[in-house]
Amino acid sequence: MKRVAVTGLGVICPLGDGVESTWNAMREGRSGIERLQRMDPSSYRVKIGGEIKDRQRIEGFEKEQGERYERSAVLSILAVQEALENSGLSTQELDRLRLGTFFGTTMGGVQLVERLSELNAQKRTAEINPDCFDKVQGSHIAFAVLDYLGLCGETMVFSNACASGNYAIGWGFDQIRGGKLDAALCGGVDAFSRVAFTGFNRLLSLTPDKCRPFSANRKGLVVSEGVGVLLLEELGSARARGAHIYCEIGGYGLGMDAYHMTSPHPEGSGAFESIQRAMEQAHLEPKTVDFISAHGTGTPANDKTESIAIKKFFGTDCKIPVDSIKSMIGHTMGAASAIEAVMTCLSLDRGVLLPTINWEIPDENCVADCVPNQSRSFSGKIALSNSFAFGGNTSCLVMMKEGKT
Amino acid sequence: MKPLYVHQKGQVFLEVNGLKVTDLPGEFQKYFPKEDPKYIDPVSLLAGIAAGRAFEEQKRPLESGTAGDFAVVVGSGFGAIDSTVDFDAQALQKGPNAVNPMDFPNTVANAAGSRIGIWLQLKGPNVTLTNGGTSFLDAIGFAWEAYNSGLFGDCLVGAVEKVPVFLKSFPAQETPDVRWREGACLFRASGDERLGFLFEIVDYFSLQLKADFSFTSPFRERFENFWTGVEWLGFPQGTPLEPLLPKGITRFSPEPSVMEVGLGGSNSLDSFLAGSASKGIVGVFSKAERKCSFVKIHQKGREKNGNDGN
Repeated sequence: MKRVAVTGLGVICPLGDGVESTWNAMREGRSGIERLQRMDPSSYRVKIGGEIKDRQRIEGFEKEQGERYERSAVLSILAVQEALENSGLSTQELDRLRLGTFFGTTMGGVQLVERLSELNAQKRTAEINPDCFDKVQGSHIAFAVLDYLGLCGETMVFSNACASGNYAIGWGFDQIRGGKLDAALCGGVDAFSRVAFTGFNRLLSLTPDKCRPFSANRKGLVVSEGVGVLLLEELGSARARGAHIYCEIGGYGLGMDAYHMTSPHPEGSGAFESIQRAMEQAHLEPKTVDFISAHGTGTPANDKTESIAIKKFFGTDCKIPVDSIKSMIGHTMGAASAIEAVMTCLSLDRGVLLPTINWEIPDENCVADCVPNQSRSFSGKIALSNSFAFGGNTSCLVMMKEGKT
Repeated sequence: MKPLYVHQKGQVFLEVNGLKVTDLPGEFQKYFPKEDPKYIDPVSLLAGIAAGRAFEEQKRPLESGTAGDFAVVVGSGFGAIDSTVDFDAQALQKGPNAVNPMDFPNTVANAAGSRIGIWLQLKGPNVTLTNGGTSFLDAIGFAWEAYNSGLFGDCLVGAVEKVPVFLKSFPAQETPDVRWREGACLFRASGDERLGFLFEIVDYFSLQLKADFSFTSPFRERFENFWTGVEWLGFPQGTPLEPLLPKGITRFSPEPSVMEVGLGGSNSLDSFLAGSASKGIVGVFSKAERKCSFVKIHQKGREKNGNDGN
């Protein structure tokens, strides 16, 4: 089996357009959540959300390209551009490789769907452009990335709700590990969705003020938007070209609660299974794990059941630091696991754990150390990144500093 | 790579034998009598009916003790877009606080696959692919590769499709006599040959092409090797791939006026199963993504010279 390295990263989220601006903001514990600006929340119970604020590149790209690509595809292309820039790989070099492009998304081309929905409700379907037939499908995202780059390659789009990004990264890992591909652009994306905001609002899953993962007074999640991309390469090739290796992917695990469409299994069974499967694939013992990037939505049920699964696997006295960057950027849906994977790469690479901000009151049902409120230095080598989803789909990624197998 | 054996097929199509969307709850309850279909969307109901039919002649995983490692892999072009539009329409018409929260889970593309997992208590990986016109074959290819990489031992794999009503008029502009293939087709598959099988999945090739429909040499070698020993090809005529396809093999071409979208390739697969070839390839070309996907399948016992072809 081949070993798989992460050599490029790209992010756009409410805290910044770019890996460095996002990392710096998170390290300082800043929040990207505020009252929604681009949709009117006045008729909703909750009025806050996470919107991308630095929109210069997005608007410039859309002005240049017109409506060729739907918004989620635009976000994906821009994050891929960043990942390629910091990997040092040119498109000419990529063209000589067996490349895969694998994305995860909860809502796909949802902003276009919502626009079509408005026209449909207003009986103005004659105004709908026929190319929408293709652009609303999730497949448009992976297509757009390769189309824009002028490359050919394998594509898959995973729609496993909020865990989708991890599914895409896991698939890229599998393809390179098995020698089928040389490199893979893997990520997750979702543009802000009125439908998601409305739905979570009606499920009473949204916090009205702050997202407080693992705090006893947590009230819910924050709907947000973003994209995260990782360039995966076969480790030997990455070393040979002198690439900076952020970390290696050691394995991944997928699980299933088989319990309820919107509520996690009360004993965290799917979460536990995905952690166990990821650790087995990576051939690691529980004591080797130094850090966990949590799904950590800030809902009472998720944080409790995720903590149960972690304690069940690592022991009830588990002191492994477990952070939730959703406290700072909200829940970016299909992008969440990919952005969390990017930040976990950087935590391993730069030796800093990002904080779970807004933490106020200990909860004995939750993990012991959620890296409360302030980032801190860290010398660990092996990390997990959890991501769970509607429908009980669960996932876990093992990431480790180069050579820690 | 090991073959993945397809033991049984379960399928359901709208407008076949007069089946309408309004009939789906009743049909669904034949297979899942304890489940209330009231708030379940048509896409999930179609997938549920196909899943129920895929186990009609075999024990369900809970009874056979395989549920813990049993995966679900479902492809769909449009996923839950119909339900998303319906949900959004409620909010636009009645206000965001008047929408029915029970309808919200129907808006995620993985609703159908997840519900199959819940109804049948399948706790292996649950994967939903929204790969446009190649969804069905990509789901099969994914399952074959994932089985070989050790992700699971058993699976239900296939696709479900229901095209949003308001989008149906656009392809009709190009193809006036368009007919839609909407429904679900799921296979119960595993690596266990002893369970008996309809066919084996033995290889998979998929690629998005460049704008000029070319692809680079690293993929070309694999593409050329893919055709070894094949007697039969189910693939539409007239695609840009035509010059690259091997000559001299029996060819089946699905009707161009039948729009399969996420179920693309299911019609060709039926044709292969009804024929007499031993080794065949079912392929689709999705114009929107400039993407081709091919699955190589094998039916043991049909070999003309007694060689099993392996």
